[in-house]
Amino acid sequence: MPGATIDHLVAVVIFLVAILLFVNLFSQNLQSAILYQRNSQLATEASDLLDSISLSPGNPQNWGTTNSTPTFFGLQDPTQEGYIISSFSLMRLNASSTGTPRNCGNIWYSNITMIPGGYLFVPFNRVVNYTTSTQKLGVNGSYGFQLALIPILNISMSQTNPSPLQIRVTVTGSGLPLAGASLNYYLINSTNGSKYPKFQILPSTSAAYTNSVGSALLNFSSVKATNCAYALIVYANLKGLFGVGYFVSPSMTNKITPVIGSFNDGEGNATILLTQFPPSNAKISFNATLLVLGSSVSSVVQMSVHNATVSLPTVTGLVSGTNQYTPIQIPSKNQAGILIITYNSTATNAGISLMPWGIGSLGATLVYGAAIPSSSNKNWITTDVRQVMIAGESYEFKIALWSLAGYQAQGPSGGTGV
Amino acid sequence: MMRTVEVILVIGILASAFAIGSFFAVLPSPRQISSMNLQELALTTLQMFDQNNELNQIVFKSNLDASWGYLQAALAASLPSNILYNFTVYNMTSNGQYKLLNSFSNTKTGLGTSSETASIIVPSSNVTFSFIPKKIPRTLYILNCSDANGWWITGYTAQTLASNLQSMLSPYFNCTVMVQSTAQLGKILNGTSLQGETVKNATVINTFGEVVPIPAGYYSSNGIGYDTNSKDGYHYAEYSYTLGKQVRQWNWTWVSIVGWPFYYVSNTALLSGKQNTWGIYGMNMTSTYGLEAFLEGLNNQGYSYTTSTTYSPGIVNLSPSALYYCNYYGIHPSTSQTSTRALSINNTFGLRATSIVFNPVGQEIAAATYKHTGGGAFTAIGLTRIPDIRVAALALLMYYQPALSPSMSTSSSSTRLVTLQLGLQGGG
Repeated sequence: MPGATIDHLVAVVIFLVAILLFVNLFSQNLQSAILYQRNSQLATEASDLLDSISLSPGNPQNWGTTNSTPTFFGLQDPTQEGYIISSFSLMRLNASSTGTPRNCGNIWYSNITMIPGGYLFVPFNRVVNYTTSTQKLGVNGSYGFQLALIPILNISMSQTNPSPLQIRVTVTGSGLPLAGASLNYYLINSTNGSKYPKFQILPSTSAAYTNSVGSALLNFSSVKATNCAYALIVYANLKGLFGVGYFVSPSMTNKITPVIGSFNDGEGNATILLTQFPPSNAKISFNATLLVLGSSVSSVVQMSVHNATVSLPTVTGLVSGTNQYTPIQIPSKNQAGILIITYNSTATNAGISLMPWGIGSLGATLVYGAAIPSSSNKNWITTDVRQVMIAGESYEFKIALWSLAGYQAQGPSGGTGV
Repeated sequence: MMRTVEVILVIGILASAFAIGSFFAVLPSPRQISSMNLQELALTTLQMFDQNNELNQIVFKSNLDASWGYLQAALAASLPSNILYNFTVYNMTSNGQYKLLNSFSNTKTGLGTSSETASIIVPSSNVTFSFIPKKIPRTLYILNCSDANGWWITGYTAQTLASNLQSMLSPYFNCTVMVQSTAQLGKILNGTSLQGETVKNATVINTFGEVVPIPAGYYSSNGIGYDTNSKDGYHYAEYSYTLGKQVRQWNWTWVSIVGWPFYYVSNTALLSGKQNTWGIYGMNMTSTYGLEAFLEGLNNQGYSYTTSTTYSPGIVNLSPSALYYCNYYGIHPSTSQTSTRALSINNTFGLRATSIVFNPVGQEIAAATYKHTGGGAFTAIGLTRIPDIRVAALALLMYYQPALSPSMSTSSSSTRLVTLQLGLQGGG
């Protein structure tokens, strides 16, 4: 009798242990399968969301050139088809890739990061924030995302000789030096005038080509950097891959920087406010010109600016005083351009500021959306990529998407997705 | 002891079940779970390179050309560093076969089974696509009278509009004749051919806007084109009545391209001393009476000196049917336009709107072709100035609906199939 009892007890214990072990094994398999299913669905959602944003201009279609908030979020250029992104809609996004915000006239401006000499300050009260876009896309509360638009070509420049001016241009893509890329460019050369700065554009007469290490030397025999301010804008092209870069000579301490006052004043114009930075009581005279680019930036340059680029009547004026600004107006039509402001304060000091009118026209990088969760949170983050064109430039358009539903990644790869 | 043995047997059964279940429940590899959409990446990459016809310029070159090397470098620079690719170009032969022309890749070990491919067809620059319209078996008359002036065609002359309409519409009609003078207009009103064309069943486009050219002589004579009893000095309203009768008699389609139809008559010789009250000489106002008189003539009823009415619905939008034909014929006027001279004549004067260009606003129709039950038709574009002749052309094509036959002219070796296969490094 005791032997039978012991037999029962041992059997029950072994059985319970075995059951617990197999339940655990089966549940692990099931959990992995469920996670795989969710992650796969997340990848599909990322691809769909990226296509939805890339292939729809949103509603209204021209929201990028107005002050209105879209009722549906999309970034496609409304005048084009396919994966062509509106550089104006991008300009109205509350970018994450920003520097220190600026205050002007008691309005705060988002400082979209540009390389020195380029400025893009967008008023916070006119931008579309991340929460709004998630609501318009129907993913608010269910998914978080971050969009990144990065120029495929990286064009860097350095001054190798001031007099006569010589500049080295280096073109890379994905870290690789790009040999054989054609370079078209124009140099904006500003000297002091009697009252306002004088201004001339020297376009390239023929294309230069990068050497085997992806660089080229550009010579400007008539320009002496010692007695002028200059900006060089270079367009690179390699068999359908387009990029733009710029270099602005170091300028005086007090700069004139443009900020966008309004995207549209209702009469087809945008208002740009010219401010002093850092604020001071110094009087600085300026000369502002908008270069309107054609449908293809490279074609504009190849046609040597003087034909295809429209130079609007130049605006001249004076900016002085702390927290003071001078408003100027430029057409807010659906054409990308570059606002060039040359300025000087004394007989010896001068400078140039560039502002892209449309994100793509100066090859700015834009990151928009929520911060990607830390990998320590074990959130599964999926990414997807498209190759797009913005204002004639080749960009990589990347999305990172994660679920806000609360589950965590515990699949075999662990951590983040591809 | 037996119980323990039984339990061990049960464990064995469970273990077998788990093993069998695990064997069949194969989970995909983690890389497949959440990978980039490589097919879309490949397609957008090809589209980007084809954006400025760069691919077109390369894929027809010899394999020894340096451009292939540059393309390879550009491809490597554009794709993320963890992507493997295989770029292949095929020649599409006329018998539907594909012949490999060139291929390059950044891997020698293959792209694995999880790679994705996208392709585009790149035609040579010497390939032309065209559409051949089936001809409308009618004569198209375009009023191009040198001895008349227009009104509400601001910024244009009737002659430039006539020229543009000719190039836009002549491919669709059997025969296109420019009516060069009011005298020639008088001839066709009489049924006399100008160049051997068929006068009956013709379409007549009045490019003079709110003005209609009037021939001297018979058509401006008392009781025909001149109403001696009319008040206010709008004597030539009766000419519109005669026009309506002729449109009915010859089964014409009369097209008014803008504004209030038949508001003025013009003949620079006949009316040299008269002006339209806005300082344009050679013109006389018939005011609102002209349109009513035309409709009476078209409806074969007696002439009465009565005012007509137009409406201002404001912003009007192209009808679904018009949007379809915009795409079909490749004519794309603005989808929203402003109408200040819309008509409300559907189901009156024996007219029925058969092809409506803009969505009606109540009973007001901004642009449509009205077919008369007894013969003749009237296309009225009641938009405000400046005229958009594409709307007039669209209205006519919607009315006649000529079919288009696609046609492609190619030369041998004129098309390439370009494929881009992408895989991830370490992909299975």
